[in-house]
Amino acid sequence: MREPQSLDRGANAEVLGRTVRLRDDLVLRSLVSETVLMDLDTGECYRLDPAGGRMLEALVTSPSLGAAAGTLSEQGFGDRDEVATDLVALREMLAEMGFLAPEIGEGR
Amino acid sequence: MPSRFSNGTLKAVLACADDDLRRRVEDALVGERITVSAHVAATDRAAAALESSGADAIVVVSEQRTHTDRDSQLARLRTSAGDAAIVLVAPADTRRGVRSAVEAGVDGLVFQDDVEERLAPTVRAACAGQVVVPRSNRHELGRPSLSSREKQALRLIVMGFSNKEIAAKLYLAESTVKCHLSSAFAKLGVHSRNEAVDLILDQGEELGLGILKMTRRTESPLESWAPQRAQRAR
Repeated sequence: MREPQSLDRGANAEVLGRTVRLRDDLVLRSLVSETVLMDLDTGECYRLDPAGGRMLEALVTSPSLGAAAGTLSEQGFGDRDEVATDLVALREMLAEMGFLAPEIGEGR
Repeated sequence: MPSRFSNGTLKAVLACADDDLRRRVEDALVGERITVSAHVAATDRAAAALESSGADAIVVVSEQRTHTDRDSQLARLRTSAGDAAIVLVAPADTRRGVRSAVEAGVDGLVFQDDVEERLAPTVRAACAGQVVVPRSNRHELGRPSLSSREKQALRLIVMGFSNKEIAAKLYLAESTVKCHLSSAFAKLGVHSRNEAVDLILDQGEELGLGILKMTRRTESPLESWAPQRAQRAR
């Protein structure tokens, strides 16, 4: 899938190529009116509305952040660049919350 | 020498808004030498009636199926009722919430189906200083000790996962998941996944909150982030 043009350079291109995966002990589940992210070990639950849940789900199941932006853009989430910018912010938030699995090659 | 609570005459205030239930409760008490010294329709007025009548107990007939409001009223009544026993008559279809009622200050609980057989002995025992709950709900008073695997399996059934999916998520055999769930159900006193889910999601149950912890939107940047992004997709 083609990456967003305005973000497809330098450091941003590197971010867009990243695979984002949740920690193995986090469970993401889409329910009727919300998406729930649950920490399996503590029982802590975070609720997102359906659109927020779709963005999170796309982010953590797509081969790359850029691919997730493309998919969401095609689904009507708006301009691919804007979606990508939001996904970068979401990824940073998830990282700050300690929700992300180490990326392949990280720590080498 | 027998206590007056075992066979002497006792007086009770009855808080009940339903006429049919009121008659059933009065019949159940009077036949056992417990006189209804005052009757009020609202629980909030029971304490004043208790003070003016000098009764030994208050019998509260609750029609409420949510525990939160009921327990708030009971807690207020407990504060103002002094040493008087408080006995709750609860709807038969609210088979849970016994612990929260006791924590709110109830000394005895009888389900409406059992009024004729069990109300009078419960009032007498409560007046004598005992806490009395139906045997079928005894498990609620003790907090069951769930293993970490049992908690994980319960969390996943709340999320709607099948045994097979839970097994895959926890890297266990499906038969092991079934064992964990059977054990957890027995400790919780439930007989099915649905009952377990209802119990865990019941906000009135501290037990439920021990298994799942819902974050508040104000506490979680993730949850407050989502609505802004969602605007674009609507």
